[in-house]
Amino acid sequence: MADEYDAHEQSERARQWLQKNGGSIAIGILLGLAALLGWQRWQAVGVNHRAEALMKFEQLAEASEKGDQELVDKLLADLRKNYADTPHAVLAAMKDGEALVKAGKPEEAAGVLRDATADAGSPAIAAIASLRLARVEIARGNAQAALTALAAIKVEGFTAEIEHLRGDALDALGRTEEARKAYEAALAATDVAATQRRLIEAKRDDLAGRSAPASPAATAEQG
Amino acid sequence: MLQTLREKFSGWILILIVVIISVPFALFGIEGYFQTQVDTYVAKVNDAEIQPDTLRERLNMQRQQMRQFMGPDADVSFVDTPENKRRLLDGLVDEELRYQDARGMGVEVPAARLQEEILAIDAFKPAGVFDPDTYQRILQANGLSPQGFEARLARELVAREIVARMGASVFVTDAEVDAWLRLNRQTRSFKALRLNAADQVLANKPTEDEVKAHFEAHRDDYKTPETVVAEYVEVRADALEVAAPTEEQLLEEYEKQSARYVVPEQRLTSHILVEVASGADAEAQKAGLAKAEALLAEIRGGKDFAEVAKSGSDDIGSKEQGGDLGWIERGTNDPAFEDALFALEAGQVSEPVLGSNGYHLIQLREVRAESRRPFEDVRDEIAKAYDAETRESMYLDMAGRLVDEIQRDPQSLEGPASKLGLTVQKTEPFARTGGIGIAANPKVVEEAYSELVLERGLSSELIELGPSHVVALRIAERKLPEPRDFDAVRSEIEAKLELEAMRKQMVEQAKVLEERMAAGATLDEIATELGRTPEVADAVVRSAGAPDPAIIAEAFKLPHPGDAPVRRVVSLGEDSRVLIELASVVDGDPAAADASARDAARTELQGQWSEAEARAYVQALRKQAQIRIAEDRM
Repeated sequence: MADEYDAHEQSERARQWLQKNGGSIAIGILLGLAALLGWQRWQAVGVNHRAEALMKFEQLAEASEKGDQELVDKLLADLRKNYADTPHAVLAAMKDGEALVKAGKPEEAAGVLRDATADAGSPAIAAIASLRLARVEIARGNAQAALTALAAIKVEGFTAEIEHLRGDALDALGRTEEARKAYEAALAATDVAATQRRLIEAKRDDLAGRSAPASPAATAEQG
Repeated sequence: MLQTLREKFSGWILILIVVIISVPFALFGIEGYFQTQVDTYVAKVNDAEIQPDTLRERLNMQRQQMRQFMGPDADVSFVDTPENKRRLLDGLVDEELRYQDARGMGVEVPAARLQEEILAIDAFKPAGVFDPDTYQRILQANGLSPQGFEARLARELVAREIVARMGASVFVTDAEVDAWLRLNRQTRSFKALRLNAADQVLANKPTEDEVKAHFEAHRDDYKTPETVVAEYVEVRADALEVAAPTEEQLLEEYEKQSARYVVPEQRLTSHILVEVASGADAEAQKAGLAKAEALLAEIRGGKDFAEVAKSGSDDIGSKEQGGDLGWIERGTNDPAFEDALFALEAGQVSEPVLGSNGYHLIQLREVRAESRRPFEDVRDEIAKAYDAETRESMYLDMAGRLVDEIQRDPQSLEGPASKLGLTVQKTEPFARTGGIGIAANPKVVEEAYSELVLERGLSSELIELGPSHVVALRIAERKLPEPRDFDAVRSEIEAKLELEAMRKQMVEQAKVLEERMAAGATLDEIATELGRTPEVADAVVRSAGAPDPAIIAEAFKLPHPGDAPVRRVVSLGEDSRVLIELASVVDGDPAAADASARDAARTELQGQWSEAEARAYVQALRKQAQIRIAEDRM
């Protein structure tokens, strides 16, 4: 008898407790579910957003191959504005830089690449953009600007490429001895198996006893 | 005694002793709490571990590739060298770095892109078009599920994304092409005269006394090499005698592996997809269903299913083929899709079926019933597999027992060999440089000359000579280096002293000639004096093949001549010197290069720059990452 009474009393107590707290429990469960679903949805949005960036980049690359600069500009602006949080924005800028160099617009290419160094999002990508910027600057006859671009590379691992291009820039400025040292430093840092080795060696060897620097004026004409 | 202790040591001394004694007990086993986890990785890149299995898989792949290219008997021992393992491991680390970097920047590969990639793989296109059967079969043969394969491919695509995209936007400026052409088409005109040590005429040959004196001073250099004769026992799977299986055994094997010989029911299927994004609202769902029903009505109204698929399907992979999905088995597709497909009769089209990415209309075109290959067809195959398996397990058993026996009796090979019914064989004598037979294998030589085997006279561990092929060896005879008689080495020493004298004379001659050239003597004058003719290079480029490329390379390192020619003596190693008179240097003229030459230069430079950038990029990632390599687990 006592047990039954206890059971009855217990269920009564449970009912009362539920009455008092049931509302907040239900709200808690609902909030939890909402948070879970929200999180999943948010994740899915992020995934879609990044996947979209890749698709748009592919369209841009295709347009760039076809030489449709108008579409390239449109997509580039879109990627810059709406997808700046994905790497494809800066990859697109690089692709645009290539197209502009090919189209014989080194000045605009330099501008695009300079922007890319600033908003690369990754120091290593920024470093590659700087290398390319330096090469465009050398081609335009702005060897001094190239040196500035190269000096801005802060990430380790690019020594061989930086020194190689410093050699080119210094040679163009007629600072032959410094150029030779730069090429030496490049060779010391270049992988033995690298295909660029022979070119750097040839550039270094050719500096010896040159009466005049590889005339910067001529280089400027070509750029 | 304890009583005495208690009386003598009371109070704080006792407490101190108890404390001191208790310390080791209290700490016993505590290290277990700090080393609960045993590391198994071969490399750790930031927080991601590369497991030995992954490395082993790559090594196997390399081994297979080598056998594919060079034949089944190719020597693949190179694969297991520490250098090669390290190279492959570095590759895996780089791949992991690229993956982490791309992931960290938020690279996401869309499912459609993944699908395109799979559809483009040649191995899955036996007849030029993607074939789902082949796809399944190849994956199965490689022990992969479609999900596993797709995940791996997605990972690779992510890892490739940044570097590949960067590589695709490398440019080459016109100025760079010009500079390249100036350098590579630069011509130099020069004359060269080579002095060889071997051509020197010595006034005096080395005297008997000199030869003898040299012999006395360097006796140790003129000894016979140390050699050993090894005895060995060999276990190889393909040389074992295996009884042929009986018919009953084969039948039993056939029953056991029946799953391998049964082709499950397959259904030739087409579909039309009306895409509804997962998690779309009810409105969109309804619209999708309505569209699917409309398409179904067209088909029911007599329109061709394939035509409707071409115009109305959202599945880019199949719509061009009229919705064709090929032959489908159970267990490979969306369950809802499959249930509906397997409920259809041949020729029927289903009602709209809701799958994970939208509504499907399914058309069942043909049914291929489950088929079983009869025993007679596969008998040889089973017998072959049975033989290989028996051999392999016998081999493993033998090799294992050999290890045990050698451990029990490491001082002899006769004992272990007779217990296993093997014979002990002997090699020819061989030195540290190797020999013939099994001594041609570097691993055998290394083991034979190891401290344990050579100095302590024990049997070696098992040495793997090939797949399922091992030997264990022991030294049977050892011949230490022995001094040789003067008469046996006299001519060797004479030749050596002569060469040294000739080299010295050549260097002196070169020095004298260099001074004379510096004082204004021309190469022609010197050549005439020596009664020789110089080699003449008239406007050669740096990649020219004649005269000697080694001389051309040196000529291209000389300073540009001003008004007077540049005259130098250059060393080509200890056996020759070359006198060069560089008359003129003319840069290549970019304007003279035609379009194809410019294109070739551009392609070359582009390749160089994309390689250099990619290398530097990974280098930079390496510098920023925390990489740990466990050499001992490699």
